[in-house]
Amino acid sequence: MEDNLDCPVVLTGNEHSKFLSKRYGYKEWMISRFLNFIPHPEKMLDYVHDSKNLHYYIRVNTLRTNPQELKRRLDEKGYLLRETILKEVFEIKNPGFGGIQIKDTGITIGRQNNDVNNDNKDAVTTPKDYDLQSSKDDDLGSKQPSIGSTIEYLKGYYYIQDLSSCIAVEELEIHAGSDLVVLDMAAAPGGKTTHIAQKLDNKGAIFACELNSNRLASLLFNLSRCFVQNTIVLNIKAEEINELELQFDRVLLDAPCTCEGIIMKDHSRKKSRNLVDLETCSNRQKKMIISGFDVLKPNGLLIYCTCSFAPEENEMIIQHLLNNHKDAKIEPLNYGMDGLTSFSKYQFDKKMVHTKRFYPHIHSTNGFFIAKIRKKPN
Amino acid sequence: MTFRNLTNLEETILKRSFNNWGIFEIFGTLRILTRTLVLNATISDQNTNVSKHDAIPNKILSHNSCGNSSSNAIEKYNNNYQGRFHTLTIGYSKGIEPSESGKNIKRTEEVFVHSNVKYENILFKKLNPVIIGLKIGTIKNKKFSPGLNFAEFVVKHNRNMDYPYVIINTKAENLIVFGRDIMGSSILSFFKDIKENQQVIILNHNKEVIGLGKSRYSGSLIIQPNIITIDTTQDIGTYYLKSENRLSKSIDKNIGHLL
Ligand SMILES: C[S@@+](CC[C@H](N)C(=O)[O-])C[C@H]1O[C@@H](n2cnc3c(N)ncnc32)[C@H](O)[C@@H]1O
Repeated sequence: MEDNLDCPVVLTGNEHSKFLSKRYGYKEWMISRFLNFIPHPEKMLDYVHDSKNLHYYIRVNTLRTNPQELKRRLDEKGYLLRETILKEVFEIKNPGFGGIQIKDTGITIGRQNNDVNNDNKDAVTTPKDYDLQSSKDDDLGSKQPSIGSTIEYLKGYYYIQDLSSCIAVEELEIHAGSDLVVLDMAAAPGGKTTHIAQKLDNKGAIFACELNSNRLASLLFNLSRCFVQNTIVLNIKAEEINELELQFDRVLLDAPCTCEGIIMKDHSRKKSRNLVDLETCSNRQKKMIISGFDVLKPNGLLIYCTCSFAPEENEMIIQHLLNNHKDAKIEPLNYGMDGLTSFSKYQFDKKMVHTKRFYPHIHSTNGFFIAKIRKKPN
Repeated sequence: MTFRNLTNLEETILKRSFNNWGIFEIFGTLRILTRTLVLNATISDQNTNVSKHDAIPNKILSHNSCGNSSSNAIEKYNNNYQGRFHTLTIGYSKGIEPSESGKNIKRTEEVFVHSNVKYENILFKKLNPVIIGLKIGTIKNKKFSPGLNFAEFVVKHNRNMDYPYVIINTKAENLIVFGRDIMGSSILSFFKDIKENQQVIILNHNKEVIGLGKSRYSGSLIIQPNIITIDTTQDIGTYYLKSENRLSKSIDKNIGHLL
């Protein structure tokens, strides 16, 4: 395939997309696109529309405590924790957010979630196999102080973070306490950096890049709160990382994106982005992935992820890498729905099925995309 | 903002502190770096104390955008800081050697622990990092001021609890993590040799660090009821409350707990 990946792909709307955009309050161009590549798009719109369907997760910071101990303490305080497919991640049923802003995750949570009713969710959760939670029975608890203001939170015993984000780090293949050098190309507010640090057991080294100096405070706060000692934080454009002449065993590119996948937590994004933003993000992501891959050691792993549904920010970025680097190989991932192998007029590499997509109405997570790329050994 | 190895003097100061807090044996196991923070102290405000200086690099307000910005971080620190405390200017010394230069210049060294052994300081010079590892405190006027992360090391490694501490009850804990001072009646137990005006580690009933404070009294006077006996100087919650929740306008102390 030639690398003439035009971006963004404009798809014409129709009466139906017009109707849906009005009904759910989105820009129409988004809906007409969703109808093309999201499974059960109307179910998703319906699901995302209802804040009762919001799911919250916490990741236990194993640098500071362990899952059993934290669960015991939060149980005691009346929080309802459910296990997930990752042993250090719990779903929290009654996080007690009363319209406060959770900036920890870089997202805004605007509604209380004390009375989640999952009947509705079950109705749209198809197919079941894709559901990532181990349990869905909900006996929802009484009013709690926010899960973002407990002593345990302030002590850095956990991080409020979506399950899909945790899966991205899980897929980096960092074995406990290994001595790897990891590059986190877009780090603030530090959800994934702190996760990598705990995987490394504070060993090895993490070079954490963040361009936006306004977001450094949240990154530094979280690194300190989580007692992370192995980071070197750089206020640089990650695209320019090769100027530092470093090589990495692992690269994480949690790319700045249009954030379509977190509309449920930030409704302003239904309207705040336009096609130019999509193009800008896509162009930057292409540059970033090439730079990240350039500094990867042979046999090293790169995880690319976004919280966007847009193929221009996901499969097309991976295709761009494959077109430019013959030594880049897509590897399979363990969770999520298969990535797209085609979009509009484009056919992608057949291995693109190994990339994974996450949808709120199917996986009870943010909308998310993950790709795992290995650099072939020399 | 260059990170560098400890000078002999700094090493002595830190060793003394580690020793005083009963964790001398871990000193040699830690890789410690410092960075010079220069404060142009044309001020007379006594309240602008070390803990405020400590907070400067971290007081850049966070926001939610995933967008990009190319503005310089240090400039931002300066702008934000000047916005808050008009009488001050502050910046990291760029290549300034550790010497006193002019009576209006006060220098604070930030002290960091980091676990990475792969990279040499020369690389750090080239990278110009915002931060390396974990800040454990500051050195000013030849004295080490421990931060909350240093207290974590103390609690973890000084198992005999042979250091100044107070253990407070749960009710007080919830107030103290957001900056309130400690009443004698909230103290469940304490280090028996506590002295007046001494730095103490504030622990909750699980013996977890929730703050640092200064004692107003010595010995058992520390548990006098109905009066404040410990001033909270740093706590684990104020940053969150101030920067994230923005509910804490009334709490106007110890913004420098972000160590
Ligand atoms: C999706 S967020 C990262 C979230 C983070 N990985 C976490 O898990 O908490 C993307 C971040 O990339 C930053 N960013 C944008 N452009 C960048 C660039 N060119 N280089 C480095 N960081 C950049 C944004 O400011 C934003 O903080």
